[in-house]
Amino acid sequence: MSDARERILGRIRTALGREGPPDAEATRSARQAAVGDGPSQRPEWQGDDLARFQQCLEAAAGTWVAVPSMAEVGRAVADYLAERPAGTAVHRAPDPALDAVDWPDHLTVETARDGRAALVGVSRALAGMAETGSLALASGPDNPATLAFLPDYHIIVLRTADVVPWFEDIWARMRQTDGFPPRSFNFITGPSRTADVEQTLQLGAHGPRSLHVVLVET
Amino acid sequence: MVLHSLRAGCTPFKGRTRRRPATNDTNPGEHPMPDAASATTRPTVALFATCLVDLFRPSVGFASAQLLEQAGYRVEVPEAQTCCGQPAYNSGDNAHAAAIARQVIEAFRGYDYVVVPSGSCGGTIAAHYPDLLRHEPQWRQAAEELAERTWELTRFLVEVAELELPGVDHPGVTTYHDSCSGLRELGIRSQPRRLLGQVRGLELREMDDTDVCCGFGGTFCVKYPEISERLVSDKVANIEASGADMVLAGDLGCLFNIAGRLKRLDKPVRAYHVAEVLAGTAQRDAAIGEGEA
Amino acid sequence: MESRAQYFKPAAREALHNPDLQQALANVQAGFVGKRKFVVDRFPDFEGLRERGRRIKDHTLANLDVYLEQFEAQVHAAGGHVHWAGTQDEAQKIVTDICRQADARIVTKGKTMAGEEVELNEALEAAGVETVETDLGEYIIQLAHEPPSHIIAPAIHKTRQQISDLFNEHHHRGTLKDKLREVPELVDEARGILRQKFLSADVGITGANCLVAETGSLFLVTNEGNGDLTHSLPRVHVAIAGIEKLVPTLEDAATQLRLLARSATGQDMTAYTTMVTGPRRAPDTDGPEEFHIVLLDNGRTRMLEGRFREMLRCIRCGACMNHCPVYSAIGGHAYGWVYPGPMGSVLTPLIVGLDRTRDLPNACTLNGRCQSVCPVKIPLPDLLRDLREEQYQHNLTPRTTRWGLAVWAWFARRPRLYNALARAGIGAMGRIGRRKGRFRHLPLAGGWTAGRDFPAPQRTTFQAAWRQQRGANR
Repeated sequence: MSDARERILGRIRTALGREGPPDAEATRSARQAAVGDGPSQRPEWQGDDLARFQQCLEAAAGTWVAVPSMAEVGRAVADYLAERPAGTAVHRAPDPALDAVDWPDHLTVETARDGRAALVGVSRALAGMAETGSLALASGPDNPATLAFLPDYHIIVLRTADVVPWFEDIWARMRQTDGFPPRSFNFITGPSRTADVEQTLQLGAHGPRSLHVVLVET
Repeated sequence: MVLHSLRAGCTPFKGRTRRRPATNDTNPGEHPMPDAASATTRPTVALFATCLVDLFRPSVGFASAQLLEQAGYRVEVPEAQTCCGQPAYNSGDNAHAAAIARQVIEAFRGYDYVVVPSGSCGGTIAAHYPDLLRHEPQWRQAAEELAERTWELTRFLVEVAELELPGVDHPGVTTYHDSCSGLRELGIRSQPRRLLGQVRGLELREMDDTDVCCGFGGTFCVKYPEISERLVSDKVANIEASGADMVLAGDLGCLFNIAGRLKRLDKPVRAYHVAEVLAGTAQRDAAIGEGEA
Repeated sequence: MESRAQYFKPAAREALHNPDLQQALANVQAGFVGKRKFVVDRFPDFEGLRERGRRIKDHTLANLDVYLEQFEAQVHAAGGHVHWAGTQDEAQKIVTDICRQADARIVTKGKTMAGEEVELNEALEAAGVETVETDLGEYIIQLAHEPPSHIIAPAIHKTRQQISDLFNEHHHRGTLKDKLREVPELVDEARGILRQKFLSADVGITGANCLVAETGSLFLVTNEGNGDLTHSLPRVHVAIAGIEKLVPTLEDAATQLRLLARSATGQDMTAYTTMVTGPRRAPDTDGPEEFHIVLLDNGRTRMLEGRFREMLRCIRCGACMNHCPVYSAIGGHAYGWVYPGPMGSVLTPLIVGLDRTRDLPNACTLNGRCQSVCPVKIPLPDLLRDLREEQYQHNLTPRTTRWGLAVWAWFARRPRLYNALARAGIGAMGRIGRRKGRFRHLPLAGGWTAGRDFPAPQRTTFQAAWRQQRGANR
């Protein structure tokens, strides 16, 4: 096994004409020279980032509602479920930010360690990315990854203050965060879909059939 | 691609000034201009007719020469031209291709401009000769220098000659096929359309997938005739759907392929090289694949 | 899978005459080409983005050893295992050994082209492991025992009727009467069956859309969410990726993601874009206990050395095949191996060998549409032409072609003789064909005249006519 490693790296070094050991620092500055200092070309938009986020989310077949506080999230979830054959059992992520949610009495709310038993899952996103209307979720004890993929109805709570314009902003923020990268860092952009049967778009392939975002105005 | 970087630095011809500065003597591409003494006429253009035009449709060569002369250029047809070498080059036979490339470089040495009524052959010279001759520095330099002087016909007429067509009529509905090499290697798209816009009575109606290959592909069409036939059938269907009664292109290879399929299917759509319509000779000559009246 | 590229011609002929396939292929153009154009046109500077993508990959390839070692160190730091596989056999052994150690009975798989390349399914089945493809397209072709025909839409060659029949046979033992079924019903049925597999799988195997040296992460880009269920639910996650999949930083990954979804499916972003780093952390309540990444060479280091290095920039988006008129006519299977279309016509000869893939570099009109949409600006036509040159040098070009070229070149280099002969020949041909203006049959041109007339030449050659009119100059 380590044999193969030496063989492959040896062939690479021969192919690249390496004479001495490579210099990692020189490589990093070579990247700078090759790629440039500025950010990548990226989408641009008129107006504010939140509006862009909402617009892109809708374009990806996601839905959203805005509420004034974390406490109000419970009512928004109940309203959303009331219009769907989704029952009243909610599996929420253990994320402490969701502790402030005021859940209506008719909902059965359980704190989930994973998504195995969930028909309705509620997670919290660390950030929203305006360029594509994507939600960024970090796996961990606060937000189990499978809670975002196993439920039929996935509801994501996002603070409007956490909406940032581009990928680069997400990376900059996350690099400041302890424990980054987590095992699974998910960008979610709308519900699950497939076009594998005759190129016809069908929602709800393996993951959630619908994605709803509750925006908490901050 | 070499061509574009060269073109980017090249100022279009305006007025009558010479644009090529003298360089060192060892450059095999550097020879005196044939008309260097004459400062009052436009420079001389060498027409590279291409083997297909030479063999199968001389009227395209004459139409091209006529257009260049209308724009005030003196036209010469160097005798030492045969083919650009593309059949060998595209078959991996680089030795023969390079030999022919060197012959073309020699034959067209010293002319201010080399004009080619084909995006495909023009692309071979302008976009591929320097790479083909990359192992021979002297020839490579000569190839780059030739590339700089080489123009596809419609692009030359628009960007260098700034030709205003003298009243040409060609009533009818026309569609235009973008030949792949011209489009992607030389950036030919707007130029023929701009020129056709000056033809009275001509309505240009774009077909679907105008930028998709017609299936000619040089030797491809004989090596893989069934695939080629499918591609040209799709092309012909798009031409028909456009409602045009005439199809034009800037490459005789595509046109023979398209016309051949149109005729096999007994379609009434006529095929001409764009130069024939611009020069007004399409009114007189039988369309490609049609008998003489 | 075993390459069948040597049967390109008969396979292509069969494809052209297969009505189901032709019906299915009609969707490719409409589905992918238009959607890509829409999102690319509204992106402010897609050309600049392509150029940046090209530079990132070129830089990475020029420093591949550095970035691989950095990647390896970061995977170790995150608690994962790194395996190096030089060949198909090594890759198979690594993965089957991991499955054996995990005592795996069921393996779920996300779509992995590297896995297809090394015939992972066959190896796992031989080791007695039930292997379930979970990408719906891959699942469909697994039921049909067929290889993928497209790198991002593996079952694109299948019609709804064929999928209905397959599901009827495999899910209902052929008992369904109403055989043609609606798309939602088919998707839902597969969802139900595969959900059980996800929940009971012991090992999940995925590919990777890119690897990030900075963090030791891999990115998975899917729309179905199957990749995430594959890596999050089982006890062990194994990923397999070509060594060329690396990029240096997260910013570079972002550039590639911006290129990938737009070029592949015409989306700004797929539904699920996931960055995976190592196994579950100590406090995590879900996720695999083990994470393995298999770094696959399988011919890639050979490409690194010469002029085919540019091919290693490929990010496997499929745009080249979506825009290829030949692919659109014959589909992916005729190419005979896992990678079809323009990128496959370059990769397959380089991995499988020039001699068993003689048609692939030639079955292309060099129209360049693939290059014009390639997100990392791979000069595919130039590389195909380079492969033709290699064939020529290795005497793999048919003798008749070589001989024909030599004769033709001999004349083409003797302009006076050439012109005289051309005038005589064309004069004769013109006299015969002038009246009708075309030939229905022509000796030695059966390929052409099978489906096309050959337009007759005019009276003489241009050179002869010009000199007659204008007198000789030069």
